[in-house]
Amino acid sequence: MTEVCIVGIGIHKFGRTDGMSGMQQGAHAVREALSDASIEWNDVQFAFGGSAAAGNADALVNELGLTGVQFMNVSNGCATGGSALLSAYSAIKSGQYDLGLAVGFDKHPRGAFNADPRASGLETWYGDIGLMITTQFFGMKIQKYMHDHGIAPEVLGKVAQKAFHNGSLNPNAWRRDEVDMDTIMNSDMLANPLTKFMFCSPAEGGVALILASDKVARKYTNRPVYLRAATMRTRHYGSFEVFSPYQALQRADAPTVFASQAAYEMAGMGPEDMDVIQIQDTESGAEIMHMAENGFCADGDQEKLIMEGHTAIDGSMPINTDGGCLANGEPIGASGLRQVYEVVAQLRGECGDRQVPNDPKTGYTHVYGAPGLSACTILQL
Amino acid sequence: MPVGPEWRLLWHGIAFKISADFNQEWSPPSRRPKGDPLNMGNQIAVQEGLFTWPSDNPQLIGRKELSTGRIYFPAIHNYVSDEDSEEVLLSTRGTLWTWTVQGFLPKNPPYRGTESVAEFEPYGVGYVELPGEVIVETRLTTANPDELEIGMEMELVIEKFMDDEEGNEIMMFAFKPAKD
Repeated sequence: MTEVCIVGIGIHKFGRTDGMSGMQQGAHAVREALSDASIEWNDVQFAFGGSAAAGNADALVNELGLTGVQFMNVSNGCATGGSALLSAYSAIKSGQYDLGLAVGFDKHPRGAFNADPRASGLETWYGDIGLMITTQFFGMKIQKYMHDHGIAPEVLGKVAQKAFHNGSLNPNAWRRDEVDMDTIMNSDMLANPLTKFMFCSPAEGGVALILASDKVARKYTNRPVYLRAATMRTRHYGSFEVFSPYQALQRADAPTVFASQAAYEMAGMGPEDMDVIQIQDTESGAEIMHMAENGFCADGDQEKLIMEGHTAIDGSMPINTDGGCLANGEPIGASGLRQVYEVVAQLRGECGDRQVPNDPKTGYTHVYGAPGLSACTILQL
Repeated sequence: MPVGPEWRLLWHGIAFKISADFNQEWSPPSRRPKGDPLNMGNQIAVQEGLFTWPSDNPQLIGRKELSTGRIYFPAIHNYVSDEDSEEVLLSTRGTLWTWTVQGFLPKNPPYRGTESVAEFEPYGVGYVELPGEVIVETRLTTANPDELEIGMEMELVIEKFMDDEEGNEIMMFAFKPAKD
């Protein structure tokens, strides 16, 4: 049975890069990944890529070379990067190809996303009266979660503080300055209980991964990282999702729960086996809820784990070691692949000041986003 | 038959009058009077079919899927087929399921409000569970966190959202903490 490995990784620094298009940042990431795997662009047999707001990924061939490569665009909301990776995984797993690329990049305007209700199948009234705003959903979801499971507002602050601390150790992060608890807790209340410093911002960046079959992987690297699972799931009737004028009375688990369980099953591993963890932290509350949805703890146990430092880089379950979305911002197409980049770099032991101690062997990534979807991976050295 | 602007004005005027006189019995959208943009000072629903309007006892309009009994909101959504569904009027009271406060001026569009950052007043947003029916997303009449608590009783109100360019009042639905 063919196994799939990541043999090259590349990134363009996240944040704001004036004078450089999202596409160019994607091309930068691809060149870095090619170089990391010691291959040329014309060695690449296939590519999957996507961006939400920075153009068609297949136009990258203009930057990289017109080699005739099979290049498919992926458009899957916040799971765009995850879906590109899953597609690349399947292409190699099937035995059709041995060497390919997954790439994601983006460049968003400043400020909150202003989504068009009609693009989400909604009517204009929903936007008219001020309900078409993602930050409200995040505020309302964590508000209910904290009420139901007894979590204090300070835990939200602590998640953000950790993110900015980890970001300060990551040269590719956008936010490189630590922020203290007082500043986080007392900054503008954007969507109660979430303050300004508890939210990530739309941003820019690009990430590229070179994937190879295990048969050829060692030609390109002496430390191939095995992609043991890559999964993607959408919502069920009854899960609480963004841009929903109504919700069902019956409750269903979030799409993350299903993507996560499928990933553990595919890898034959469990949450207790993960040495380094990246989970979607669109805002502080998301990291808290996703800890439980991904199986890392029971609902309500987060307060103790977070406040006692278990989720810090040197803790028992290091979470968002690169600063997550909070310190990197969210270029939608690149965000999921950034997490995989970070896990691969951690497993290779290349993370310098933010390196997880004791030679981590396995890692986990998770994205979640509109309109109610999730993608997970499990990686192993 | 001549159908000039005067005739339309007259027709809408009559329809509005009749509806008001009969104590605003609910009628299907096709027979519901529209707010007339030529008539200054009308109170116009932000969207027709969202709630019964005009009405002394307005209610949100949902859609019930007959085969499953599920209720959706708003009714005008294409969740289900016409054959397998019917419009239903929703309860005007429920409990607060969750809430937040919109603390910054939303981008216009999609937001229709035209106030400046300095003029902007934070507003409450929540989900209200209508027992046995559905959980609806709604504006709240208060933005004061001290007045909001998950599980509290809420009731429907129709209130002004903004004035449009023609001087009409654009009306929206909201929930307020119930008095009793």
